[in-house]
Amino acid sequence: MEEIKLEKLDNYRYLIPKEGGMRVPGLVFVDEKMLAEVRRDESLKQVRNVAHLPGIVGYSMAMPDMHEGYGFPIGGVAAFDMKTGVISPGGVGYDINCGVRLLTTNLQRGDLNGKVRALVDALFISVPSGVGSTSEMRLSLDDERKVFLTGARWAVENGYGTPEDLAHTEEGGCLEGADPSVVSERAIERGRKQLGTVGSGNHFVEIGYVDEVFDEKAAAAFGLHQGQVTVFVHCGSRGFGYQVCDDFLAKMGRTAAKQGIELPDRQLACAYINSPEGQEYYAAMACAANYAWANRQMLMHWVRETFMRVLNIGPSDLGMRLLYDVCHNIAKFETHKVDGKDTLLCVHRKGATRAFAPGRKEVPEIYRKIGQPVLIPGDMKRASYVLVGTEKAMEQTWGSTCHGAGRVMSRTAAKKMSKGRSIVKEMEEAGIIVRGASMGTLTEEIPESYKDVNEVVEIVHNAGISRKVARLKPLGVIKG
Amino acid sequence: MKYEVFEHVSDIGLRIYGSSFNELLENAGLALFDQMADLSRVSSVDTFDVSAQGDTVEELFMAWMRELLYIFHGEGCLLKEFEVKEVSKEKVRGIAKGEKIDPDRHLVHGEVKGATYHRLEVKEDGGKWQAKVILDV
Repeated sequence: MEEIKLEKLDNYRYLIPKEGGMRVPGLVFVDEKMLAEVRRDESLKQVRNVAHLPGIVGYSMAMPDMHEGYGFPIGGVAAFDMKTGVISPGGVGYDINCGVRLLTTNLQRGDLNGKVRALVDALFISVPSGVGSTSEMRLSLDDERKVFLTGARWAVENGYGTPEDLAHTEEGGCLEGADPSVVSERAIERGRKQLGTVGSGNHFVEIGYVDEVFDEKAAAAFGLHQGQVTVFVHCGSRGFGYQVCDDFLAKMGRTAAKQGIELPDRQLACAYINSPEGQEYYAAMACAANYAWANRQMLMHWVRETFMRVLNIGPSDLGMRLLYDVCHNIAKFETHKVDGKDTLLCVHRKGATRAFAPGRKEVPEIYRKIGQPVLIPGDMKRASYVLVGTEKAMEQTWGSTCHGAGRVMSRTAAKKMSKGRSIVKEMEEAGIIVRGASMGTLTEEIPESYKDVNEVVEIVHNAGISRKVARLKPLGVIKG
Repeated sequence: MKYEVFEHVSDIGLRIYGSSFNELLENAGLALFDQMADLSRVSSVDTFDVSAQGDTVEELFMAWMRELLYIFHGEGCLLKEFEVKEVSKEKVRGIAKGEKIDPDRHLVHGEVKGATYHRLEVKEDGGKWQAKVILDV
């Protein structure tokens, strides 16, 4: 494997100097230890490849949870000029608007003593999960269209949650510019059966609690306190988003050639943002982003209902409120400072989270003074984090940070490593009740197959592109 | 050997062999569905026409894989037999046989979400065909 040349800028940032067809340098946020892990796959080369794309502005970047993806690395962030730049399905990923939402409650950890198993079992039934999971609901074509156009708003209008939830969702749970007419029949067909499902792979619903608060002021603004029970929901646009990505990857290989774009990797297929093909992809991607927000909104509603039923308490005693919902696979049009001037850019975040600073209008009003909440799920055992966006992120990373732990081990290797072990029992010994839709998922998702989320978060915190607010620990998990 | 599996950080890699391009595609179908289920429990009761287009061998290969995967994702079927009837420069036509997933009888280990262009190779050497493809799982 080719060794990519790097220049150390400081303890947490390395530069990939511009050479050959690169239009900008690469910039990766890692420390020495993480760098050694990163060097084991081709993700640095992928950062370099992305730097070849037309209209890229600033740097081709990657966050510390980076690992090899398709085309763009996972953990990749790249912004493109609206006139001369491209949009790429590979820069968003297959699971369009894969993301997480964090729910807080009025409960303390002790309130769940002896009840976590019952909750996990009940959630396992009320929240459809697993390979090819389908929901009992069959959307009409008309409703599906509304989901594409209005996202989480459709869910709230149909009784899944409250308008307050929308105010606490990135983009209000609806990305503008969606156009269902550009979506293939196959995608529509797949989408109809899967709204309201978690899916498989690394997606989950996790009951946890606040283990440590690092920033009292921000925690108070986010409504977080020590010992409080929380719930994470991690999922995306299911087969619908996947089909959209696949359709456009197939199409855009030809588009790129037609538009005279040279690609260092076929998986980087893209089109100029202002071309009909680029606009079409954006409009289809927005449909999938909205589908994902509706999906997470529905799942959250079932989580709320399940908690009330199992614990036999009312909504005000439970107090389950949406802290925030972030997407970590998306391309968005955002205004950022380029050479001191406000400039509209197309920011791709693939396995990266928006981390906007205090004062930005995109941050919900109640958090605007403190900054955007950033949600970082870890593996099923170690921890998860709540961070807050910073001015430094605005200056350096187009307001972006990491998205999770990041895989270090192949699924096959993880399965081999867990052979003969009872993952459920091991987790139980660590005080965590786990249920997986299949044994396969649990063995693939063993904690060792991920980087240590604590180390990932330490890097973004020390680099200043987001700040630690609280650490959460899991109590019960359902895995797809 | 029809195919072998190699490791990739988040996914599964397949190296597929064939004595012709037709056979390569047939073996690719088998390799794909072998990753998802125990095919010995699947019967060939339904037949699907599969037709795929692409202007290079890589694109043809990928289009064929996409069509097969859609039968899994869109129709909810497991496939076990594959026959390529016709290959031209830009088109493949064939059939695939299998049946609808029945959770009571079939053991589905996992889902292949898609075949990617990442590190894709499709090549012929002295009449032998070989493809390398990474599946997103």
